[in-house]
Amino acid sequence: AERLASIRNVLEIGSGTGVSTVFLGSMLREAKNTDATLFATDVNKDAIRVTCKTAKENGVDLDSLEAIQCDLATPLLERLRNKVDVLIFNPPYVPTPESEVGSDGIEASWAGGKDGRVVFDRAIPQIASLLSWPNGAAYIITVDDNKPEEIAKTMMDEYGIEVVPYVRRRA
Amino acid sequence: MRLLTHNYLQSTVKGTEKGYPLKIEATTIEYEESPFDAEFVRSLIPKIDYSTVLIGIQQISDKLEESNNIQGITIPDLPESIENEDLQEDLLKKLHTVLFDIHVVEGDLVCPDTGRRFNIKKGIPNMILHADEI
Repeated sequence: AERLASIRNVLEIGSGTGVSTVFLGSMLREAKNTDATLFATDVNKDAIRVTCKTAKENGVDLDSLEAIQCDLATPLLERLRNKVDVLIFNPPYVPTPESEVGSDGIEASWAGGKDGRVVFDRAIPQIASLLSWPNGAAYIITVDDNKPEEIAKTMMDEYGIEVVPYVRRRA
Repeated sequence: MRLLTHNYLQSTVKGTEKGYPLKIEATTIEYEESPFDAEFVRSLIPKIDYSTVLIGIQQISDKLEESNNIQGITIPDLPESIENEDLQEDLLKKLHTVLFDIHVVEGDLVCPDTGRRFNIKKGIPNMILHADEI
């Protein structure tokens, strides 16, 4: 509850239907945190629209949710540098042919190219620059195909960010 | 797109010097009143770039007067700076109106350095760059 109360900025990259951010938004509301600003991004315009709708239908104040159509968090990098306390990213992690990566249609929600890592790898430097120190945390979903140990090593070696497995389940 | 959202958006097209703030060229604006929470607005103040808020208001105010569906709405007068301002409720209320209740539904955001236009459609600004801009 202390942690929830101290959160100032939440960012979800690739919000899709918006359930993750909205869920966190409702937890923040329950913890009486009225200071948090939620940011949600997605390359798909319909996803942005649905994210806002999900927020509205679940009593998460639209006033505190900024939904932006963009790639990763690109237009927000300067203004949110070192300011994101909670970052959520459920990347397109399915290994697919390269050609399927980079659309803004529904394939963007799963197509991850080689090892399912193409989009995620582009996000790594952004995530590193966005997280607030020392307590900013990113919650990211990966599958074994993405070689999570390799990701953990890169994050630590290049950015000093510790990666720990949080929950593991069968997909 | 609200002025609060606009406050955070920057163009990162390759070769852009600053890309902020983006110039608002609104063609359709809507006004929708939302519940006011003084403490929430107060908590936003350190997060926003206030000068960008003022610039944004200026850029849409001409259009605002023309928009049919919001006749009678005048943009609240905001002080030049809020640094040493006493953050009383009526100032916070004005800030709330400006940040949350005015929506640019159709228009463009234009990069001040390169002129690159980012389209706003149905209230959503499209900030996706083309492959050659990255």
